[in-house]
Amino acid sequence: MKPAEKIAETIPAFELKGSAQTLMVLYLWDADNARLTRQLQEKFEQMPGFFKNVPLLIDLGGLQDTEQLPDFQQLVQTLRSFDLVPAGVRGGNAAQNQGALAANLGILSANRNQQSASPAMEEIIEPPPAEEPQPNLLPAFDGSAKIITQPIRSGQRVVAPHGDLIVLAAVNAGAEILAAGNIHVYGALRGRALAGVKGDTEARIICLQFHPELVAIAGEYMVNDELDPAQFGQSIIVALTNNQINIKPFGSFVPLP
Amino acid sequence: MAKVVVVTSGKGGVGKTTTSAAFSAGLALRGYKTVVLDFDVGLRNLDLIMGCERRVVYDLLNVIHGEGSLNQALIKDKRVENLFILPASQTRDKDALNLEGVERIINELKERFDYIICDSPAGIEKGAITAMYFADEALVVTNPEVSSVRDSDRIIGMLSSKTRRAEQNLSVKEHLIVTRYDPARVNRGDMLSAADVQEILAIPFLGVIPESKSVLVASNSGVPVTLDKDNDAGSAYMDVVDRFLGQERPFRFMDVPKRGLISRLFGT
Repeated sequence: MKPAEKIAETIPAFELKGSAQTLMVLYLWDADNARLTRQLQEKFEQMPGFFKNVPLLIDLGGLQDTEQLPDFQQLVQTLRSFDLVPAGVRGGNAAQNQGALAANLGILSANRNQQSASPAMEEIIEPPPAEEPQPNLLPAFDGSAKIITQPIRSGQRVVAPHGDLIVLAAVNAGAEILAAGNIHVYGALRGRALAGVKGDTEARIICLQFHPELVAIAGEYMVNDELDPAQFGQSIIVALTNNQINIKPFGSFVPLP
Repeated sequence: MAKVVVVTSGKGGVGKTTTSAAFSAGLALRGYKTVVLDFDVGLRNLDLIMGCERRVVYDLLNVIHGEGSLNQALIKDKRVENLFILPASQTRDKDALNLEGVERIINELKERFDYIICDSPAGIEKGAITAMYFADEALVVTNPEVSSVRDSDRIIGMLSSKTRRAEQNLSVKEHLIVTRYDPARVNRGDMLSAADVQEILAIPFLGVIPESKSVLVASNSGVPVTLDKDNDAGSAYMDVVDRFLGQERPFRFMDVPKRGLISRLFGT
């Protein structure tokens, strides 16, 4: 071994550490794969590509007390066919955990939170082990921005699933834009704009001319009817303050009469 | 190289067929060999507006299904040289259209004509998609009202995603025509202005066609408005044709005409 290689050996190549992350959880209520596939299909048709490559935890709490043993190989295949990445299971009984291990899924300790009443997918935040409160870490947010230079027209839908969305044209009525991060529209916003769709409450919507059908940040929304007409046509920043949509003009843009 | 131009709008009743008839007759008047195809299978109208409804033997679907030749189906206009009509079938529905058949016909027409005008049906379903699929350019016909503008917006989105040029990563060249324009009502605020429509749709503007009584008269008598002399809608369409062909024409019919003293006194 050369001296340089010896030195390199003393520098650690990795570090192993516990960390709390937000994970998408799939609450499984029925082991029937055909039924699951059908319902996933319905769900994902509404938001194609939206959950692409999102790591997924399978919650077996709903099956724990039953004799049902899901075919985990098949389940993993089904989920992968929807571009999801199943990472592990939790809340299963011994036999179920055995099956999950055999399908190369990890076993996580059972959820300490109340379970969701909805069988639909839901994002939950694992309480961090540390005492200090931690901001919402979004695994899917990678800081990248999607830039659109063409007008977004009625019936079109543009999604920036991992970061900001920047539109250098108008967003017309009947169009819908969604982003995990912020939305910037350097033109008129006449359609629907949903920022922070993965729960980022710090996300904002910024537009040069404000005529939206709907604005939403992290699930809180306002429809056109609830907006102050005096703000229409102005340059606006929409943010979330105390869980409330907050709409403020900015800049010196004067709308034409 | 022959060009395929689709006349489309999304919304019905805005003047697609009137525009197809006037525009193709205008191109023929300017000396281009032009054929106009009716894609509104089941709701055939173009033949009426072109005044050739009593000469229809074979139609587009007959040719697609090999029941008649293209030569048998093409109807030559009696008034203008260089103008031909290929009518739609009235007894079938739009599901009978298929892209392979339409492509074959369009390729055959490209050998013989300079311009192939496709009159699209309303809507965004199969008929409209088939009419636009092979287009190189598009005339987007819009009325100055919000519902029409929104539907046109939707259609422009489809032109850039559902056509063959879009699939080849090329773009369909779009042109905006605002029909049934009434400057007096624009001034009163009843109607969107041409500038408003242009701002929302953001595609090149070919001009406005004024709301005119002569359009109804012309279509009921089967004469494309461009063939009717002394007709404001007809001259507006000729301006559109010339701008489409790359010539500069001052924009007319955008403002309320000034009325002379006599017409004001007698209220004509």
